[in-house]
Amino acid sequence: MRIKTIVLPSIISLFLSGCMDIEPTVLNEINIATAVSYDYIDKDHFTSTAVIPYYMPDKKVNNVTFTATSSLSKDVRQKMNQQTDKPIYSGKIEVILYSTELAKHDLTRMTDTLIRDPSIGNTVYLAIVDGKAEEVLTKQFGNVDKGTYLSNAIEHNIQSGILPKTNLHLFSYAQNAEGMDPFLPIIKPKNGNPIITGVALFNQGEFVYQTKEHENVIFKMLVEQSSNKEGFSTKLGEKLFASVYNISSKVSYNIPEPMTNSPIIINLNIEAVLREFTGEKVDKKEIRKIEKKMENVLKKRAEKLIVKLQKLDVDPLGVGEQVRTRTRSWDKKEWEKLYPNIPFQVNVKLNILESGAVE
Amino acid sequence: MINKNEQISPFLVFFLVLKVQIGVGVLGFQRLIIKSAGNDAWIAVIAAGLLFSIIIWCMFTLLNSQKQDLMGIHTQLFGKVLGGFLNMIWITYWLLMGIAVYRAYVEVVQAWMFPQINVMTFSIVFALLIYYTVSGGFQVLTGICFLGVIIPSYLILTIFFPLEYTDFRNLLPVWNHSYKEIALATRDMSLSYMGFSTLLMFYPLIKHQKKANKWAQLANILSLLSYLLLTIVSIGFYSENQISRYVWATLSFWSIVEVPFIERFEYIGIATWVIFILPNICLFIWAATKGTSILFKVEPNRISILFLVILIVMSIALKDRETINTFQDYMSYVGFILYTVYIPILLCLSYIMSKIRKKTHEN
Repeated sequence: MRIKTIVLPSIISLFLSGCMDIEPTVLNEINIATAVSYDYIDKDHFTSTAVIPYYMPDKKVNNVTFTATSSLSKDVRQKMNQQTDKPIYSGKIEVILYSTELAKHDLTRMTDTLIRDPSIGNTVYLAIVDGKAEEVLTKQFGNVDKGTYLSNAIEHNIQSGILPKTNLHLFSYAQNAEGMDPFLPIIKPKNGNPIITGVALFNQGEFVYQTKEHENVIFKMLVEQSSNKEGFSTKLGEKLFASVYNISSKVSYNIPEPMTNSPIIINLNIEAVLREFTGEKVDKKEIRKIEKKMENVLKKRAEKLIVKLQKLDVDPLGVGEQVRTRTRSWDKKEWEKLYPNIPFQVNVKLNILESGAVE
Repeated sequence: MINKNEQISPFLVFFLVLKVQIGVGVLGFQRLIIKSAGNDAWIAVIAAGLLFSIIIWCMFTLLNSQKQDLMGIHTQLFGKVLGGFLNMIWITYWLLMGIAVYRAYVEVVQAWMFPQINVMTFSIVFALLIYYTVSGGFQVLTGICFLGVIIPSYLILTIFFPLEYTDFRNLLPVWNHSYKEIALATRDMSLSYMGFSTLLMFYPLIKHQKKANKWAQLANILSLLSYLLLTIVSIGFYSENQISRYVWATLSFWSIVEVPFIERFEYIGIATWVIFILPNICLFIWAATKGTSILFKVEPNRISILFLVILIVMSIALKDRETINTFQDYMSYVGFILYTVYIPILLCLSYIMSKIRKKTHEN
């Protein structure tokens, strides 16, 4: 009796588990897309390109692309499947690219499918392509899988370059937050080679501005507590240049009277190491001089950038969030009215800790 | 009288209560409470936890004074007919709770892993597993509860992954919501603490019953702490409008987890969750079975088969998100009344009745 109650259910379970209608997905019977791009056609339609790496026996990687046009992202996949021998799966997508043209027409409706589809991870990188997004995927370069290449390129620029932390989750976070606007990295194809040129700023879901080269470093410092190797250089005088790299930077806000027109003070504390100096000797006095000079330059750049952001009416730094968490019963509409006219004051404190291996 | 060999040590009550409290609700309770209390949702978590601490105390006071299970208390206080009717209500509640938990889990599987899964075959396999546990007796059930806490406990480590993207500034300003909003969130939160009413059925099976209260309270505090941790991280990790869109916020945590040997952690997490919810469902079905077998004096195994058939049929009948949601809302509403209104009233009644009886005895 006892044995019957154990053996019988196990046998039934064993046989029944085969009838659960679960579609098996065997690795060599599916196509795994690693990157997808979207290009603008008209208000309702877009072209989508998916890239699928084929690993050849001679260790070569063939990046095959499929293109289709539709008005819904999942329809596109259906149309792509009509072109392939094996079904395309989206579980391994690492990078999703949008053209600037498309980004100008509200990305919100494009990102909905990414959040809704549980097979797409939250750490997927989104990026804007200056020009046609398709171009980055269709042109062959190197012997690598394109999705992995692009995601590595973005990743190392986050870790030690100009890009602040970014991924699908952070984009959707900023898009939904009341006092914050999202940003994404911008990629520019040059002879088919993708180059990361800066950061695209959004007003909710609409692309409005691309940061210039000299704004990138200060932008990253203002957005997050970073400890990176990105450097910056300044002209100190005639033929006198100095360059430092940033070990750690901390940004803190001092808002004495939130939700009024009184100034918001941003404190930026940077610890850096001298990397290059064209003068003769570096002593204490000289270092003080370099610090003072650089502080001034950074302060000016930061304040200029913030004024620009106010003019564009975008808030990628999340100043609104800083004010919101300091106010009771915060009113989003009132803040939106206030934001463009609030005076900002940036206090930069640069501390050069080391001057390298020589004096 | 109950055989001493069938009884369990009082410290095992810790696992039974903890297991039945942390069930499928953990995967997505944040949305409900943050909807009404926003960044103050963590206050509601503490408030609900303390409320249920009191209710556990109420239950133990009631049970300690009566020294029998709920079925016996009902018949003693209200007589055969009315008591039987009240017993039926509780039995139905336990059965439906078991179904609600099971269906909620199947919904997660459908939404995240296998949209085309055949619910009927899955349910039959699962029902066999439940039948095996329930028919094995209460000690087997306790064993499964113990394993159900120990095996999936490694999942708590995954809380470190979202910390990288967490901004705890979101918790400010503290107490930014009205009492009404926080009270509403507390009510919504209470669903996550429910389930230990099965205690009313397994009380006679505990060895040193007076000691068990301590363990039950401890389990409640541990669930409170786990919910609190999850809520605080969720508030920091998501922006408020964002979380209102995620049905399973805890599962979405897992999609940020990146470890070298596995790309998508959700699949491991959801699979582990079976071990998490199996004892949960078993306890409910066991309580319902036990109650019915006492009430109608039938052999328990036959009833559990009947209940499992109901479970399979119901889980097929509840098809889409909307019906499942409405069903769960009703269950949480009924549960809230049963716990916070019915139990205290029952305690008062039993106290008054015992006083009256004492008096008539003395006279």
